[in-house]
Amino acid sequence: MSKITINNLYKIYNEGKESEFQALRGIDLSIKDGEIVVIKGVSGSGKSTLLSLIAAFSKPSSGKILIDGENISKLPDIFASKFRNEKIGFIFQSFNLIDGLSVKDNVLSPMVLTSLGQDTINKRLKIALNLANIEHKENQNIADLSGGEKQRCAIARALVNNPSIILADEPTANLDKENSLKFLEILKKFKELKKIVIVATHDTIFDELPFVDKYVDMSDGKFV
Amino acid sequence: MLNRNFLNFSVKLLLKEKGDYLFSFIIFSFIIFIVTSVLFISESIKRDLLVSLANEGQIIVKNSKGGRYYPIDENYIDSILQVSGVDDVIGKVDGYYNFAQDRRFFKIAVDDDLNDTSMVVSSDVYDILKEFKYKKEFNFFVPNNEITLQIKEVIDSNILSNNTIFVNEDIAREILQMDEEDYSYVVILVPNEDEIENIALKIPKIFPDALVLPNYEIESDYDNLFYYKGGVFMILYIVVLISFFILLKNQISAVYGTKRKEIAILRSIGFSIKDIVLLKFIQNNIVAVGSYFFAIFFSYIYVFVLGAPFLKDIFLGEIESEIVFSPILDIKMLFLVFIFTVIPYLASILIPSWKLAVEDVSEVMK
Amino acid sequence: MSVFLLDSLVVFLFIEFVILLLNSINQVIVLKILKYWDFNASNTFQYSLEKKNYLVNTIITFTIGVKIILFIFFVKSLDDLVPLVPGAMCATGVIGANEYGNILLLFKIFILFLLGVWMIINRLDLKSKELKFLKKKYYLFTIVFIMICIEFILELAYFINIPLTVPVFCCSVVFVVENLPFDLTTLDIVYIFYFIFVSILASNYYKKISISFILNILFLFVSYYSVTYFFGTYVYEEPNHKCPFCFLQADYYYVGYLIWSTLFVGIFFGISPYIVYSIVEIKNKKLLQYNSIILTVFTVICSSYVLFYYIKNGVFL
Repeated sequence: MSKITINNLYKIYNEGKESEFQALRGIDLSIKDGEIVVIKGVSGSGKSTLLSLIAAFSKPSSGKILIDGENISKLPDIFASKFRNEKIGFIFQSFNLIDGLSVKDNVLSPMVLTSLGQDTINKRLKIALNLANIEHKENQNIADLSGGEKQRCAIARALVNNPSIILADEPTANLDKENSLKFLEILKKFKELKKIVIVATHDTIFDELPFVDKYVDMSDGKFV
Repeated sequence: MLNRNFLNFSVKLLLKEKGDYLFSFIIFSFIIFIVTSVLFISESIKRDLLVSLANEGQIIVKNSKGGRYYPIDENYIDSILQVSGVDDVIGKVDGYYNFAQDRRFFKIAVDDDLNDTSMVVSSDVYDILKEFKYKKEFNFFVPNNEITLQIKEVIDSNILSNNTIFVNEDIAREILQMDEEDYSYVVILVPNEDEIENIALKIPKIFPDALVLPNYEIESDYDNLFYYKGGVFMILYIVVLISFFILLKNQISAVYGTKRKEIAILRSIGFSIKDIVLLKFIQNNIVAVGSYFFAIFFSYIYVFVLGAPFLKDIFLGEIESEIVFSPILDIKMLFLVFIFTVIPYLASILIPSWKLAVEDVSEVMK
Repeated sequence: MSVFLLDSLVVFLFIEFVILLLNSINQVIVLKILKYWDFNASNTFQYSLEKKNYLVNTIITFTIGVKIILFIFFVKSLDDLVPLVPGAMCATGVIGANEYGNILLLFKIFILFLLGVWMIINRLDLKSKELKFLKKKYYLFTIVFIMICIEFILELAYFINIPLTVPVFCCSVVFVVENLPFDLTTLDIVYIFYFIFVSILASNYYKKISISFILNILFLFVSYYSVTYFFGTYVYEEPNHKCPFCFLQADYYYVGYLIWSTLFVGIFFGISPYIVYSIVEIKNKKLLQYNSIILTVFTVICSSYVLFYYIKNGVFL
């Protein structure tokens, strides 16, 4: 059975108004455990909308998203948030770290919602920082980091709760060539960890990678 | 979910944004400071009055003639002693001395520990005497005589003693020109509280001219006076509070407007709407309760250590400038202030917090 | 002279008004949700209702907290009125000063009680992935809202009509005649008190929510009479001092707050499982444990006064 099954998914903004806009038009997709999927398409093609729906971050106008057999698109906010917290790791184009906090506090921020003990939390922190290769900056403020370091901090945050699905929205758009290549290395690590990774990008650096299981092209809210 | 990690995180975010809350913290502290100071002053005055009342007997009897106060003579004491239930009757001497040079009256009260050549004055009285170069002694001018007394001690003024000079009973009679067997009023000691009312009713039957004041009547007079003043002040203050809370709501909404992105980030890592509202509630609780204690601390210092400059003048008029307020910390009053200020504060941030929490999160995806 | 100038009353009515205002906003949203709620719809409007649901929950939760604080404050404020109301020696005289007082007090307890039930249903609702009980909890809230409005009117009516010149009865008059129901003697009541208490423990042990419900209601009334006419006299150490309010004062170390709050909270946990069951058909048996524990604390406190009096003096009152 697939881990993620998406059925005939539609997302329409401003429904019934003059400014009505169909961001997604009948998406079907299924992803198995441990698969890496790259969604390619120009900006505005609906990639980000699709990711936010998979994360139960916004709700579809129609259609279903089944994850582990459960339709997450109808979950009330409390369950959707819990699902996002436990099963989803988000990596954004603009990193989306909280300014003014240290790397450690940022990485730990998803964990404040759990009631785990301090020992477990520290262990998870170590693992996440290590995987993202940022442990040497643990106590630095976010403002003092370079773009690549911010990216790795965001990756550590995405990993800290040990999620089974990682969503990356244009992860390399704000990185130089060197850091982009480093991101590919981390992507390989994800593969080893058997995580589902969905990358939405228009960067050609993701083309023809041997460890990617599936490429889909997206345009005007549809797979082509 | 409320746990230690969540609390720590809320505090970290709050400390990071303390500038945003500084405005509401300062204004809110000031508002609480004023209301607490006013209540401290009035509670303190009331306490002083009640304490001095408790030191008097249970019933005070004065004499009158033609509607004016008139000295009461010793026969009264003997007759009242006959009333059953009366433990003791004590004659008291007090009155006013006309200090003609400054066109004012000093209250003359009795302190039997003093000898025939000395007196004790309140600090307010001493200030006035100093202006007229009476630094060590003072001359009372009475018809055909002049009484010179050393100033033995200057005591702190409170609401009752601020214009008082204490002398012994003989000197007091001389100054006030009262006869040996006359008293200004008498106090009756009644050990059984239930008897007070009965005895108070009996005395006018024996002496139709007597004015009888049982302690509960004086007490409720004080109470009424303070309830009235306190209540009017509180009603006026509600207007201040309401304006503040409208201001606060707008200010918080404006500040929260700039926090959209941060909230969207939190939502993306799994904070629910409920968690965000809780986070903001905790932060505002810290600000509100923090201001509350901050304000109470400073108003205690302001009233009881510094003697409430400015506010005192409003309460008592400028003349009585040396009055010292006896420190009191009444839990019930603090509870009242808490309910009056902190609860509406928290009520006024509920809706802005929720609005922030349900803000469109798509911003984070760009 | 008006009681409305008493500063604790000014504050009390102001906060009650703030709460009423917040809940009026709430009620408007609640009506909208009740009318248009459709969990299966996936349009923007339904999603906005879902978001509003959290605002309503937040405000009601806040209301519950404030109402509890205000209830304590209300009882304390009654003591403030004692010197103003002629003849009143304790809150008995003040609360009985006109026909609205006792109704108001009952209303307040009842509202707190319903809000507690609301809270339990809300928790169950938030635990369900389909928000199953949403409509039921909002119908319940609508009832509470109407009661809060009536409560506010009752408060105004009560305070306006407090007599400041005509003497009222004090507790020694109100409770001096043993007006116990069914011609029971005080001792009968005490036996019944302990009998029901033990029955509740047994019923809770076997988790019979409907029996516990009935027994708890009975226990509430029996406890009221036992505390007022029997246990209270041991608190005061005076056989003729019968008053449910006097021991709220500092002279008795505020023990009345402990006695009444353990009784009311205990009873709440005893009868709410059945009410919750009859609304949402979920048996919440864990609450019965709280019921047993808190009522035991209540009974121990009451009994210990009798016991200590006996140990100290060798006789009963």
